[in-house]
Amino acid sequence: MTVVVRGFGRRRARPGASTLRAVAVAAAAVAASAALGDFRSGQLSLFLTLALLAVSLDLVWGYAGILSLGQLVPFGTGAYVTAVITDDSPTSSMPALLVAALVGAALSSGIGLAAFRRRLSLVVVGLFTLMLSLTFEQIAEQWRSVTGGFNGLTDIPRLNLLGLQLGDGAQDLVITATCVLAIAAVRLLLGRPIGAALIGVRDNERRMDALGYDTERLKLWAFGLGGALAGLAGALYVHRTGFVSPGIFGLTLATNIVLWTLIGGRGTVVGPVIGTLVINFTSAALADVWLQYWVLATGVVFVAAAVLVPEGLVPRLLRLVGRPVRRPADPMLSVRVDPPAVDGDRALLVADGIDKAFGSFVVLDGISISIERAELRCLIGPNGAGKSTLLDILCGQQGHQRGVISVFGEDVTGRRGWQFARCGVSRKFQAPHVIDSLSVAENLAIAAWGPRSSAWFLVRTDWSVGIGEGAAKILERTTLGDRCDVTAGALSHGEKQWLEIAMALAAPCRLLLLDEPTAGLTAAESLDAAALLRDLHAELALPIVIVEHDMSFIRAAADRVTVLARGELIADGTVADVEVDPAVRSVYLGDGA
Amino acid sequence: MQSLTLELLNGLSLFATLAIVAIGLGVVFGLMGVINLAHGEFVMVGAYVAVVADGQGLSHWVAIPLAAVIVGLLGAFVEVSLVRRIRSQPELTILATFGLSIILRQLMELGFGKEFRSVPNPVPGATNALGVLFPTYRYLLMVISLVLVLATLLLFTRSRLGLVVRAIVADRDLAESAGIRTSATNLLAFALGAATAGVAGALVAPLGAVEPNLGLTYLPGAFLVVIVGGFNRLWGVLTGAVIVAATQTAVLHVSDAVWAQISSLVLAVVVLQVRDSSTRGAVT
Repeated sequence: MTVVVRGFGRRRARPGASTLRAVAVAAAAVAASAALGDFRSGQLSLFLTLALLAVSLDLVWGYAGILSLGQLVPFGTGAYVTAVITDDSPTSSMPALLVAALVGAALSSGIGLAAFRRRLSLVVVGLFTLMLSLTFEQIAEQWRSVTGGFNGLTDIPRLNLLGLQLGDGAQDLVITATCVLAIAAVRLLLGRPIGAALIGVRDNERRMDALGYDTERLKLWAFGLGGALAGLAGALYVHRTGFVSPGIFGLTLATNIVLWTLIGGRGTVVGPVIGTLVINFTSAALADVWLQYWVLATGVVFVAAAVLVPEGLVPRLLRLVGRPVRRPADPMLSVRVDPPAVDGDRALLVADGIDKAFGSFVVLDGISISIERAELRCLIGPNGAGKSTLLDILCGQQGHQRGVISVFGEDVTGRRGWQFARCGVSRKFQAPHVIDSLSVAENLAIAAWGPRSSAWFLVRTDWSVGIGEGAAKILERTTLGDRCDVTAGALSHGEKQWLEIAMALAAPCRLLLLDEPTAGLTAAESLDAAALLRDLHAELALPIVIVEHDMSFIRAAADRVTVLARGELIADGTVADVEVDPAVRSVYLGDGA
Repeated sequence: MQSLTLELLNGLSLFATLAIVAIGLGVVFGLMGVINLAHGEFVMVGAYVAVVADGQGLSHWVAIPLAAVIVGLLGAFVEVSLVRRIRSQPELTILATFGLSIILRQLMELGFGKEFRSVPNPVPGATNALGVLFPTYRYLLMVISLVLVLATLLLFTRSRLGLVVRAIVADRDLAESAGIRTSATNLLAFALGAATAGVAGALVAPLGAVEPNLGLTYLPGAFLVVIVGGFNRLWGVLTGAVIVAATQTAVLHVSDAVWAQISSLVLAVVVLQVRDSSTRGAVT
């Protein structure tokens, strides 16, 4: 049973129509290129292979959020592979292009694996990829038997289409069409849910992890696809130029593609293409006299762009004319009725003997806690008691040293956050964690897909999704319901808090963990929040664990209270029991009380 | 036996060079968390200071402190005009200092041309010790480098400046409210880091050709040293330099420069995979 809670009036382009449009754009580009004359047409095709390279960087950097200075590794390798396996025999170039793309994908996936498995920082990934580029340049120079050494490989034949050897002019048109189609395909792809998911990883990796996304795999997927595109671009490039030398891995080109992408505007597909074309046509138009200052100007523009227009010119211009940089998709949200969160008498969550220390500092010392039924449990304690850390451990967001955790009877000790989320453990963080660049409806859709979120699923699925009843209730009872197409970054603090709780309930949720849901709310709002949470708890029979400070909230909401102090569990019972417990009084009021 | 001793001396010499090039990076990047991709270019500018000083008839021993002052001032200028504005955004800092490295290389190319310049060896000749002949200047280079590296290490770990720097690294806001002028300290640390790079450049100038791309040959090695040594552990620069120098010398002994480069990369990957990433460098 599904009930549509919200469908937006805007017409969504059907995939067929978008494909047609892509073909139309490619045809227009070819026509324009033919009209430009041989010289300009040749320039356009060359610059478009570079634009495709810039788009591949944008996929990795602008969408997945990882600045790679080594995008030339798949590009140059693709070029060398093509140069080596292409000879004068009248066979089609298609297999060589395919091989170049596959080699590019394999290389980039390898780089990604090395970089992401340990969650390296942006800076280290940047350095690592830069070093990799320099190493590939050296290998290309030294491995003379294959790469032709310093002088590279020359006289690479032009493209061959199914046995038809192309001339210069025809090749330019084919390369132009191929690049435009490839770029259009990337744009289409990123308009699918996978694009929003990558933006989610870029904006807020922790949130995505807690929603059930294997963020490492998504990033790896983006790296692999980026590598394939770069490999393809390299293969086309080498056909277009007819030679390849170690300079293809060099710092100049590495710098330039980053610059084109930066100036054009990362996080948009059109931006890097415009950046690449404009800058290259400009530099080609400037006479040789200026050439020696061109590189210097590149450096100056680089610094200026990073400091003055870090988001890029295309997004800046769009903002100036009041257009959104990214037009949000309008997901069709419906209500999904899930089976009850709790079935039978099985314990929902059992944590036994949890020890956690940061270095020599003990945060949790042998904590055991269990949630046995659909209760509303409050976790309280003075600052530094270890409440948030415990909550993190209970949903896999942090590791711990000793102790066993089981969820719905399954031992999940040592699993990652996204694996906990896939078991039905949902989490709201203390400071609101929503995906700022996406609309409210997109945030909810992304949340609802969390547990099934393979990259392939996110490519295939369309923008219609069922959200849990709890999420729908929050939309109905708060102002959020009217703000579904607003960008989450523009919401008020209270709205973000509710959006995050709604996100936690969008996928099938069997246990909800909330960290200070009333932080930053007024006293009246806080009581409203308690009432709404109580209703959700009662109507959905949903077990909820809340870390809270606010006693009026706790009195209004809690079934049972667990008190933590200095990493130890000191009391457990009803609100009334705990309030008179001498140990609790001594912790809160001092030993004299 | 002789060849082994020679390799050992070569390795020691590489260790000293890596350490003096990397120590500034260790302070600025490892300790303060500010990435500077133009560090190699600071080294390059230091080498050109030695070239110009030689052209003016100045002694090399004057050129070395001169390089420290000039490159230190350059670093101060870069910190005030650029790094300070974007230091909280690592990605922009990467981009801006990357751009800066292009500007410095290109300015040098416009000013001095692409051709290789050289600085005459101030102490020609070799010393016969341990049964092998080894250039005297490289003995001196080792001594000077290590003394300066140790002095920098002591300055940043044992002095009041070191205490202040560690306070800022631990908690910038708290340090500020405790009356520490964090911006002045950042400036000083960045300028000192640049000054050591300048010294490094002047020291290595007589060893080989001085050209605008000189910095690029040193940058990856220097970052590798900091990565291997560990972020936020300044003394790690010494261990890092030992490990990198030993690996490269060993690989060079049996193979060529490409394999040395590849081995460095492998070393970086292995260290990063093994090391706990919850270090300072893991700032995202």
